[in-house]
Amino acid sequence: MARFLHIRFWLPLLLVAGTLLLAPLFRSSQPPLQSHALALLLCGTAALSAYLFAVIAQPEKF
Amino acid sequence: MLPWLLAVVTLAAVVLTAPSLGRHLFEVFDDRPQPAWDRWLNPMETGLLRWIGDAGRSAENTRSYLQPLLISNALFGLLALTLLLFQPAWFNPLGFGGLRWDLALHTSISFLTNTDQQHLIPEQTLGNLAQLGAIQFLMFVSAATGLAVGFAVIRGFSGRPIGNFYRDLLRSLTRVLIPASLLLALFLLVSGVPMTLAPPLEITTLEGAKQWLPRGPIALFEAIKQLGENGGGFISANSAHPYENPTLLTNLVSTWAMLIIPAATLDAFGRFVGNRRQSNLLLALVFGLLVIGVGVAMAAEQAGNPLLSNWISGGNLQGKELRFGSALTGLWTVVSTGTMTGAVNGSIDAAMPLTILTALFNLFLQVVFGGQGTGMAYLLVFALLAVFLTGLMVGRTPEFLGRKVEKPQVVWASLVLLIHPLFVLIPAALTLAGGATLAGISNPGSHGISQVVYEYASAAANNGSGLEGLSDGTAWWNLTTSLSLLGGRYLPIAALLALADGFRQKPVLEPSPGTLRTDTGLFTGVTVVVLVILGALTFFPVLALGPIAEALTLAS
Amino acid sequence: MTTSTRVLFPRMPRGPRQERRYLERPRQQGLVGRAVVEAFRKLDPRQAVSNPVMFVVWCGTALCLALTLEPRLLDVQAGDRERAFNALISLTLLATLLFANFAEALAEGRGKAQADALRRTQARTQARRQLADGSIELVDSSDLRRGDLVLVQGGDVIPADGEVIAGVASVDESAITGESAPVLKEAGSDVAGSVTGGTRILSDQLTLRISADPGKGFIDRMIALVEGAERSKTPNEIALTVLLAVLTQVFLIAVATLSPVANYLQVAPSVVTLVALLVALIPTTIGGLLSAIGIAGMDRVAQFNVIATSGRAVEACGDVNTLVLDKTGTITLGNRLAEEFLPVGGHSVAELAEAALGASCFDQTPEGRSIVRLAEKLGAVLPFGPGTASGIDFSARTRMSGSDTPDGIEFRKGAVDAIKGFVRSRGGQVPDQLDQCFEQVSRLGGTPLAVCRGAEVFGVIYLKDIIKPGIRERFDQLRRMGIRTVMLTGDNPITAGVIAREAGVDDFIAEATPEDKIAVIQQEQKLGKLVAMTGDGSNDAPALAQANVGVAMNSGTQAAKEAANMVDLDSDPTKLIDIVTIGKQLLITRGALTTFSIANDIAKYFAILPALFAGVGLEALNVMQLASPQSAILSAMVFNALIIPALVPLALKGVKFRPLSAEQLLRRNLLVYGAGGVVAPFVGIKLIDLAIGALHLI
Repeated sequence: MARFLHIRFWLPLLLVAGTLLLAPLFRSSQPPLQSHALALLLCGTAALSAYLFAVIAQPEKF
Repeated sequence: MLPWLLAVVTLAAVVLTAPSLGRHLFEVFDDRPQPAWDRWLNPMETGLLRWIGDAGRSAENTRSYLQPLLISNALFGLLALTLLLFQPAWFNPLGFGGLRWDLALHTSISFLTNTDQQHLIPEQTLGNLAQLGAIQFLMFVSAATGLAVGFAVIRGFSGRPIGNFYRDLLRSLTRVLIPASLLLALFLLVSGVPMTLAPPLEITTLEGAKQWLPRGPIALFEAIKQLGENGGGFISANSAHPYENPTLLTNLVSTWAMLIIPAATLDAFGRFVGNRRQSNLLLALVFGLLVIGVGVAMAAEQAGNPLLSNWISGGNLQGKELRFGSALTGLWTVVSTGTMTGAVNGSIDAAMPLTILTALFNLFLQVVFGGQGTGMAYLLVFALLAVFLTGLMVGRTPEFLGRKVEKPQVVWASLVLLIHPLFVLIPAALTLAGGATLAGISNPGSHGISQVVYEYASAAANNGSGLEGLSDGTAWWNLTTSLSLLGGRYLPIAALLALADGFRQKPVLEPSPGTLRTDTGLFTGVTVVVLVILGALTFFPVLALGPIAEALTLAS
Repeated sequence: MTTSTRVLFPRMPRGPRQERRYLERPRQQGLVGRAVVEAFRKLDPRQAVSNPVMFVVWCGTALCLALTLEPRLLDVQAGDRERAFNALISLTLLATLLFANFAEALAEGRGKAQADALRRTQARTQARRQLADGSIELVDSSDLRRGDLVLVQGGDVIPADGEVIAGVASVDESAITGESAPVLKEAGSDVAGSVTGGTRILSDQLTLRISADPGKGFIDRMIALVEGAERSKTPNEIALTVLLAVLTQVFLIAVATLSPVANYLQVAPSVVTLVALLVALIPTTIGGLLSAIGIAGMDRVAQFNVIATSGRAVEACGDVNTLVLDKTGTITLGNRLAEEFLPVGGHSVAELAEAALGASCFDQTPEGRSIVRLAEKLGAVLPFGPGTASGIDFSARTRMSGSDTPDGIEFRKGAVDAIKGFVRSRGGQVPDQLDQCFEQVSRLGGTPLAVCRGAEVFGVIYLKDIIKPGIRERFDQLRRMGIRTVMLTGDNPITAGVIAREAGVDDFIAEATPEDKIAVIQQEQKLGKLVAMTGDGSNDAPALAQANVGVAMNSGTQAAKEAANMVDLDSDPTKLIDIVTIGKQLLITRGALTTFSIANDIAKYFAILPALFAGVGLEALNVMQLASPQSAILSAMVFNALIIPALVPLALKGVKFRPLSAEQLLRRNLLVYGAGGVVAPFVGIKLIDLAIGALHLI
């Protein structure tokens, strides 16, 4: 449970930080809302990928 | 008709000679008594083993195999990197200076990983010392490393301890690669390939212009380039150059040389597990895929571009050497990409889309004989996954070679599936997102996608060929492909060793009528389907946007 | 006591197996309704996260829903047309999730219904706990602890599992076995010494030592298992989960990188279509049904009235190579019947019959009573007055039984060499004819029992063993599946050989002791084989623990039940064969649906890819001639969603298992699920595309 509390705390933080970091990359081709949404999508995909790696590493826990 | 006949003869020669070399490999790597003819190597080998000392007899597990592998490879790489960074004046008749750091890094990693992707023009940048001490040295040790890993994995699958890396490396060199290369070099020498330390030849052409003809110790270089599935040319034009591949005969013998060691490794696998039927069926599987690829490419090259057929006959001759012709260049391309040699005797960039598709398909599968030693291991991984997927359908926990396939095996085997998406698709997407300038694409459109994807696929599969229109000498390309090279080499090696070591520790089960037999035609067919679905289906979207779109556009 | 015969032979299975259903039938009504509600509840991300494949679908659905609410979020040019399409895709994705949740909920619901049926047997009761000083206190049954002493009297419900330490009583065990006849329980007896919580004592009183803490008892374990509360993934399921996660990861990367690659050609597909492609490619069919298959497998075992201690045990059944079976009760009917009297030493049949009657009148075993019946049919009369003689019980050491008359005449019957020894000890002669009779009977597959009066051998009784009808066919099936059967029997080697041949077992061990069982199991395991066995006595417990799959009979001792990984409530040893089939079915179902799921990808590529990149020249790949790009994508998604409920019955019932060799099974299943998996989506997607066109949905 403590582990999940950790994730619940860190995941949104990481997503927000990643979004803010990556958004400027899309600024050239997109208006601000879209560039932030794209950055968030990218971070979300990365997080999903990390989750899948966690499943591969410890399938018993899921 | 003649090219087809020659192709059949070459491939038949591989099938006929593989069993005898296979037996030799089995004797070498299973520590059987040596035949009389290579006993003359004993003193040198025992001397070296004594020098290695206790390290040559260490405990046999994944860690104790992997650790010396990584350390020794790192040392080999550093040695080559130093030589390339600071080219000394010795044996350097044209006085070439050191390479740019990213180019030196990429070149040393590329040769260290048995890939031989070249982002440089060797005859204009490398002196003989660098060619011999860095490039050719790495060609020998990287092929030996691959062979060692291949046989460690085979040992694991056949229930033997996986062995000792130093010993395997040494014996790969002394018993297989060095003698075979010497023999092939002798043949090439006789056929007209130079073997000299003299500076380039200055000649006056018919028009009266001055021209430098690069030459060097090419014959031996060429021999290990083909036999060790390296593929990096002494000269930029690689095997298209008359000094590397002078005649039709050398062309066919070189094609044979690319195939013979991997085919023999497969044969040796059958001897290790005591089931030649199993290895013959796997050989038939791989050979079948190769023949299909060769057929497609030869036909496509011979047919040529339909849009040009009104003006040009004789197939697609763009980027071809006339002494080989269009069809035999197709044969070479498929064999070279399938075996992870990556040597070229014509421009793949100028080949027909179907040939490029076949080449990419080979790079993604990595088992159409595949890399030196590692190709065999990949094939076992796919067979294992096929057993796991279909074996459940007979109502038992799947078994392969008498051992159960359970979670650890599936984890290690399927990690191998992740390597290509990680090290091909992600960097290719990043490069293409960065725009054409970053990518250095020479032909826009679908072909540009092929160029970028091919470059990373070639790096991650440790092949080394390329669609050479790409301007790949930049720091971006050097560094990103270096990552793909390393990821595509050492991560699978670690996973394969762990897989094999874990597998051998499982109890052996006796076969019963309820056990799924893997040495049947049915199962071999299943393996092909699993191979194509798991190995290549992932890349179907990218292939569709690249060569398939190009081919369909040409056809319509 | 009229029930005495039942008490003595509690192991006899009766009636055709299909009709013996002792557990209360679980309530089926309302199951679907509850599963629907549960399917929505399972959308909770905290639950969704436990299924990697479906969690990716979950994330995709959330993204598509967001883009339905605000299509301009990722693409400035998107408008109402895109919103409508996004809404349709979101709905199909949501349906995919709900269908998968529904499958799992339905399987769980069936387990829960079964657990409820069990729980009703386990009403809370008051128990009389005996304290150290001998006084009695009333406590709630849930307060009992392992080791407590409890007094139960006629009419009480037995509060927890326990061992009888004093008293004799008849107990109604119909709550768990369905046997209406009461069972005699007494202290010190092997089989009759243990009682199960929830059963009812009918008369007299017993003192019990409680053998399980509350919630750890037999029925509690049963409930937890069928309910799925203690369900942990089996090794095979874990391995499959890894492979599915890897495939999902591979396709996630492939689809995520597609956007920049296509963007280079200026044909970047919309995010929603990419999500659709991803969901189409990842193995949602098996991902959605994987847990349902496992739960349904446990449920099927429970429907057979067998309680498995873990899913792992059921799965191991599929891998069993060798079955070790007791002859009696499994291969032959439990009771051997006297068939013929073979006199020796010049005695007549009538004399032998009289001696046999004398030796058997105290024997209450079915064999003994069949001897009495046969002797009386032949007109024999008891050679002594009723009530005058005393009975001598059978013991494993003497291997004979009989009676002693007051005037010192000893009637004995028993194993031939035991009687030989007895006769010699009394100074008698053994006629050569005896050995001939012994051989003659053995060769017929019968059990020879010698009969003597004092020092004089009268002859041999031929006890006929009746091989269960149909058992030979079952062993043939097992052999075709690659399973070897080993018969264990106390009979002499000749008899055992004949029975083994008739029943068609592969191997037999004659004159076997309980120690032999362990030896056989260990020997097979050394060859790398998985061994399954059945057992009931305390001395079977070590062998049950040693075997990879040990099935204890419910009529057996507590020790045996503890050591086993399955307990058969009907105490029918042949059921082991059914359990093996269920284990295999479980694995086949998983493999078949995985193959089907992955094979589907080929068709989905051909549907979606040409639709995704219009204008790059991929039109020729549209082999299904789907109407429009949007309709193609939607059709693929609808097919992907609908295939899950279409396969739910298969997942819950399991792929029909046929006793074929591995090669034949593989060929068959590959054809059905592999080739079928390639072809079905081509047909399905085309049909859905036609329907979408007809409905003008897009």
